[in-house]
Amino acid sequence: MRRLLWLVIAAGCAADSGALGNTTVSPECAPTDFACVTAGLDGPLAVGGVLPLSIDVDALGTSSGAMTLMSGDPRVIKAAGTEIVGLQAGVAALVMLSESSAVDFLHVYVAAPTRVGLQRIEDGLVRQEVTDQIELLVGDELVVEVAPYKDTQRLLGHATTTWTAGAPLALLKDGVPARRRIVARTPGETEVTVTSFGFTKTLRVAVLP
Amino acid sequence: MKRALAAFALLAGGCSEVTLSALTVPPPGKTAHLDDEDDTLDLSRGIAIGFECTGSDDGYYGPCRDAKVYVDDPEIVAAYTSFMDTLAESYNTGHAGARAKTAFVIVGLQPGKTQVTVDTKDGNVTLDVTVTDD
Repeated sequence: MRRLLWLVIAAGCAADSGALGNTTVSPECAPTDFACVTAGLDGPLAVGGVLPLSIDVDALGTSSGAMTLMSGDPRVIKAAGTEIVGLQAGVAALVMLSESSAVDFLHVYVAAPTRVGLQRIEDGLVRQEVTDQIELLVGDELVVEVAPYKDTQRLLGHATTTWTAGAPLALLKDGVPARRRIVARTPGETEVTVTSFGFTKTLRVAVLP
Repeated sequence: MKRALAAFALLAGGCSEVTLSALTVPPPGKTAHLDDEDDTLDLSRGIAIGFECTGSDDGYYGPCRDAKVYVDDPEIVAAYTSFMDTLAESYNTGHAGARAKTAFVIVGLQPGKTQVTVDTKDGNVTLDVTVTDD
């Protein structure tokens, strides 16, 4: 029931309209991935971040046709298929093309991250950024996702990520490269270290008996 | 009513005119300004503008018909025909029903000056376009 409620909320706040009102643009994600669906394009794209987009044509009586993206400034944003990559800080138009006609466009900001943060995912939703030590009981699980930040503002996009953790924990892949499921296996204190966008974040974890 | 009166006033004068009207705004701090009086368009690099085209010619008033767009220097701007999900009334020596609006999108690609020509069955207009690196 709670998931259904979030799905209803997500349907109303997850996307941005193109400048001409002909399209709705949002990150490409599974409809049940609430943490992704509810975010929309709610911040700048990170320099070095890759963001697959879902582009829906809103014109009445017309389905979405084959779409390609054109970057107004290839120094700022690279467009490949329906995926965009942030290259340098700035803003550039992203033009949605169908054959030789512009269906719509959207201006997208790009910002350089100053750090990465870990967000706790629960019931498919981002709960908050994890900033303090985590305590788990043996057998407990916690799903975390690494995200780029510019100071306190979360940026969009994902980059190559490496994860390490000490023996008391198992780090399991969770179907999304930027996410891991942390499973507490044996009592002890350890750290989870994640590196992405050239920044490293360390999370202290205590596993209690 | 005012629009209809304006349309008939234009038709009575027998003039041919293409009017371009901006539909979009630039992001904060950037420029996308269409001056339909001086036929100029100022754009920041990387920024796009959408505008619609209205024509009046030989008894017709309404969305531009058979519209095409040409760019002198495609290295400086990119220009595309576009569309809108709305209709506008048209008149052809009398009410001629609603037609799909005619729209275009122009993107400033790199600093410089060039010209963009909107060519329609109802006349044409050439814009002096300036793209700045701001």
